[in-house]
Amino acid sequence: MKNRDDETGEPRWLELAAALRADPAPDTLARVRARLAARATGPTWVRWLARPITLAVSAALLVVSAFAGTALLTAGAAGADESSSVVSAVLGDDDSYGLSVDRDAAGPASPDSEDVSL
Amino acid sequence: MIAALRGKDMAALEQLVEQFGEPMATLARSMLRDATEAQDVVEEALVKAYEAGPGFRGERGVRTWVLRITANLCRDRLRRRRFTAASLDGPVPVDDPGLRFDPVADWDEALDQRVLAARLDGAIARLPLDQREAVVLRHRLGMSYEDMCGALGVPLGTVKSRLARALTSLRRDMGRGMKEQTS
Repeated sequence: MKNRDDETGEPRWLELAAALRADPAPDTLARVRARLAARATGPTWVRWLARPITLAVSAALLVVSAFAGTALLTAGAAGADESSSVVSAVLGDDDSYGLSVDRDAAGPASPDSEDVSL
Repeated sequence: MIAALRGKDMAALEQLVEQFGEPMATLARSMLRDATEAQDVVEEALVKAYEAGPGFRGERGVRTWVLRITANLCRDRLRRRRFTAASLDGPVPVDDPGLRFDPVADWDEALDQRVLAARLDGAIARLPLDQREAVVLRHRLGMSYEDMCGALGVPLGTVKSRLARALTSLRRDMGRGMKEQTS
C-alpha cells in the first residue's frame, strides 16, 4: 500500500500535492517585455514621483509642514490672548482702564461712593 | 544568469521564464486559485525581478528569490481581495485547463490519484494563508526548509510549526476521503 505514512511520518497522499502543477502562459515573455517597454515610455515625472527617495522627501516635508503649522497656530493663539487682554483693559473690564492701579495703595474710598443717609 | 540579471540583460529574463516560470505559476495559481490573476502576478514578479536584478545579492539563489517576490505579490493580492470582493478560494477541479496533472510514480493503483489529488488540492485551498504557502512551497514545489525561510522571510521554527499545523488540518480533512476511497 502506498497510502501509508512513510519513514518521515508524512502520509503518502501528501506526495500528490506535487501532482498538480501550473504553467505560465506561452506568451509570458512577450507580455513581460511589453510591460517593461510600457514602463520605459511612461511619463518621466510619474517615474520620478514613484522613486522611493521622492516619497521619503515628500513624507519628511509633510511632517515638517505639520510641525510648522502647529507652531504658527500656537503662536497666533498666544498673540490673540495678549491683544484681547489689552482691549479688555482699555474697555475697563478689570477696572484699570489701561492704567496700573494698586488697589490697596489707592486709599479709602471716596465719600461720594459711600451710602448717603438722608 | 546572475551576471545577466545584474546587467539587466534581456537574456536573463528569458532564462527566468524558462527555468522558474513553472514554479512561479504553480505557486501563484495555488495561492490565488485564479488563472488570470496568477498569470498577472507571474508577469509582475518577472518585471520586478528584472528591474531589481542589479541589486540581487545571490545569497539564497535565484529560485528562492523569484519565489519570494511571487509569494509577496500573492499576499498583496489576497490582502486586497478582502476589501474588494468575496474570496475566490475554493476547490479547483483537476481538469482545469490551467493545471497540469503529473501522476506520482509507484502509486497504489487501487487508489485513484486524480480524485485524491483533487481532494488534497481542495484541502490545501482551505488552509489559512500562511500554512497554505508553506505546504505549497514544501510539498508542491519541493523546497528545502532553508530555502523556505528565504522565500517566506521567517525563521526555521516558524516554517516547521506552520507545516506541522497544516499537516494536522490536512490529515483531518483527508481522513474522510481516504476512508471513502479504501472502503
